[in-house]
Amino acid sequence: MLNEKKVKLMTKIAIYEKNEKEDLKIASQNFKVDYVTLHMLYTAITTTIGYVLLVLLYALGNLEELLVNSSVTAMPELISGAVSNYVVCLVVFLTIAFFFYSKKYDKAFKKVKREYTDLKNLTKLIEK
Amino acid sequence: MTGILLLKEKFKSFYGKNDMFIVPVARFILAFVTLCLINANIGYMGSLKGVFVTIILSLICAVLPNGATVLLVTLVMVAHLYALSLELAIVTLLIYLIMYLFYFRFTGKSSVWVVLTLLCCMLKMPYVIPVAAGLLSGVFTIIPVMFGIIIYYIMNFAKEYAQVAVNVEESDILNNFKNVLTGIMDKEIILLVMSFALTIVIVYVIRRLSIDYAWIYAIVAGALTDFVMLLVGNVIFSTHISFFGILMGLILSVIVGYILNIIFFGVDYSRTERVQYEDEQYYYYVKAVPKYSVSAADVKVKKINTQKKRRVVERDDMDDIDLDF
Repeated sequence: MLNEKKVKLMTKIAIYEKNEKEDLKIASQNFKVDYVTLHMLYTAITTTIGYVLLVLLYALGNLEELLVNSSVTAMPELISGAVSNYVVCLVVFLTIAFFFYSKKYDKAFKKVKREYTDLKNLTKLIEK
Repeated sequence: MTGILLLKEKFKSFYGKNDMFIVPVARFILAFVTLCLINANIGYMGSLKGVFVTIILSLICAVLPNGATVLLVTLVMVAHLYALSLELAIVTLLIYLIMYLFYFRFTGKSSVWVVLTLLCCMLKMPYVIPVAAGLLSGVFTIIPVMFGIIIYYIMNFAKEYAQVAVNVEESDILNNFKNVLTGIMDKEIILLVMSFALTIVIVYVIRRLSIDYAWIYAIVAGALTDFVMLLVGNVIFSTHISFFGILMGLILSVIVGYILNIIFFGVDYSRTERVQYEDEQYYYYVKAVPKYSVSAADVKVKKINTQKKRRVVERDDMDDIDLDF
């Protein structure tokens, strides 16, 4: 005979695992520090590439002025300006990434805790 | 309003039975309409303009996640622009890459707002988007909406550029890049982005307040903010956005906002319950607002056959029978 409680619990766990696969993967396979650090590294790489493309876009729009008006003495100023803007951009995006991925991990961890509670209840029902 | 609620209940029941098909069909329709409009506006690459190709691309978008729709739509645009001008295609591709690298890493799910904004701009009803985004999503939708506006203005510029492209010297690459970048940076983009950003923030903040009819106040406040910002900005930036267009947009955004309120947040404030209780740790002050629910009349047709007439048989000995019930 079917144990209705057991069937309901198993269905709930199965639906949960199907819909929250990504969150379960985040929280069960990583420590928070590792997860956040890894994604901050990805963010640093994409921010660097994005910034280079922004500089390229700016250069394409102002290449004539840059070639005509810039001299060897003005180069260090130009480069230091670009580098300082890059550093500011990187710091801003790394800060956003830190808070975003920390919050994402915390949310995923709470969901996993709930799922483990359901699994424990299911185990108890099976043992009865 | 009862009609809309009934429709909502019927749709919920239909969705419950057929949800496996509805989402891919919706994605297909969104991708198909967007690609058709792009082809109609900037269809410079003949091989991508055909209906068959559009249907194939839309089918691909239907089975892949929302991010794939954005990617495909932008690739099709870049391909069309490449047929018009190499410089325009390179600049557009760089802008898309920058968008992806800086933003879509964090929230790929809201990328559908890029396509929706582009679609509404092409259908000449862009003012619906900030109210809808503020009601249905969060403050960070400002960024995909902004990208949608930028993509639309790139398309607009491409149409104008096509008319003068014949006179452009292909060898003068530096000048061409400069002209393209200067042409894309329209003052209307800045005005629209500022106005939509403020509208989304205002709608989002107000609809999250725990006051009765918060969504209604949010819709009205958002529409008025958009209207005033666009009128004032039109004068300050000397742009040429039509007053009639802004007014019609305001009215349409209020109507769409009201419909979204019923569909996604139908609550009956007149039956609000307020309770308070406590446990060992906290006092609880709870306000519960019931959702509207209208069940469609379950009409069953019963056919009643006419009774067959009894044949009356007269019997002499029945006169004395007593009928006891």
